[in-house]
Amino acid sequence: MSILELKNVHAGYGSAQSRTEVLKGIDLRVEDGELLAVLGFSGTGKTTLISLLAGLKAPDKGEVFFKDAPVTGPGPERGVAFQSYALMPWLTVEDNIGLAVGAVHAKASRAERKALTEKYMGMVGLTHARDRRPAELSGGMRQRVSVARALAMQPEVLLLDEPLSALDALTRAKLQDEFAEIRAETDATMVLITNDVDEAIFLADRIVPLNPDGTLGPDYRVALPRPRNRVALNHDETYHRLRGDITKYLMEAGEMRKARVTVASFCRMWCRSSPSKHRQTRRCRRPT
Amino acid sequence: MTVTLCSLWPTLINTAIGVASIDRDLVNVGRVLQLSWYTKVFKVVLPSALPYIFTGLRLSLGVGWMVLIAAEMLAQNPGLGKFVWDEFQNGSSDSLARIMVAVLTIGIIGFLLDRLMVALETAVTHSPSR
Repeated sequence: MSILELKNVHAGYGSAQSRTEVLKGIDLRVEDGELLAVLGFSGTGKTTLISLLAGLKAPDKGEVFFKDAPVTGPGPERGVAFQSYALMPWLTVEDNIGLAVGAVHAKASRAERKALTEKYMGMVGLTHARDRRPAELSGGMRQRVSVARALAMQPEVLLLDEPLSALDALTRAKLQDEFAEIRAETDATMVLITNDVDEAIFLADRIVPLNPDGTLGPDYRVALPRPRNRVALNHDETYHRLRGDITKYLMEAGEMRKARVTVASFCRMWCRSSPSKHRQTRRCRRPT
Repeated sequence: MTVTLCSLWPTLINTAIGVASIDRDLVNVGRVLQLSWYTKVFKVVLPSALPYIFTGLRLSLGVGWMVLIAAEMLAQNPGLGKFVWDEFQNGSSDSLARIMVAVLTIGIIGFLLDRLMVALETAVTHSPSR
């Protein structure tokens, strides 16, 4: 059963003349219980895709379904961990997580809510930092608070928007391990947005590349047994083949974009050099 | 009345800007959590707009104090403004000295009011510094 589904979704920003289409005709099914990784260059609309799935942004064309019902707005059943953490700077770690618990489990008693906050704070290993504010935390710790807050909503789907992209390589590896553990514990469906091929293969069940032109690439199933071991993966034949395939695909997609950009800048130069003559010609329009 | 009318605007405009400039991501968090109106106002909107509101209040206080003195001079309400005006009119030899003392007093009171507002601000708002 698919829990989230995008049907022929188009999305973009701006209007009329200055409009840029970010996503074009996206068809995506997220199966119940899977961890799907969407992999792509920066600027290809990964965050837009998450906003669409979360219901924070409405598609310009096409439809988004959550459990076969059209999505009309955001809700706690689709928890989001934002790229920029988005923690309230004036609240402590405990209060930040408590805010989500209080909002989602409004009917629970005070003690129950406290227990839930404790549970998720413990899950990300931040019980010792409960009284600190985000400004007093390291990047990795902030990200953990953000994930704990998303988990505390007890969502049916967890949407992770490049959760580890702002962290250094070591912290990254550590948090990836923690994600794998959390995932084993909670069994929630997750959509992970990332620009790191290794991270995607390490964590995901299925990888979908997002092309720079705003379309989705082919599915890559990750048939590696769990729990996955980072060191052992380095010698795994399947891992190498998959990594090679995906990297090759992404590089080729990237080359296409580069070529297109070169043509576009050439066109622009050409138009500028003799404006009256060429401005109206079709070739001078921005290629889409 | 005059004082209110003159000192209202800085606070009003700053509050509007403060509320408008809340981090988009924080608003999105609120939307995902479907926070109640009360929580949204007191946990998200007010804390992030408070620094702006206080800047507005400090400006308002300065303007208000100035206008208050001027209004006393014109309307002849008893107060520091009227005192300065009377001394200016009576032309005694000590007048200048008295006016200077009054002017300094007005300045010091204005400064203290401002400090008071700053103290209140640090007590109420979160500091962005670590």
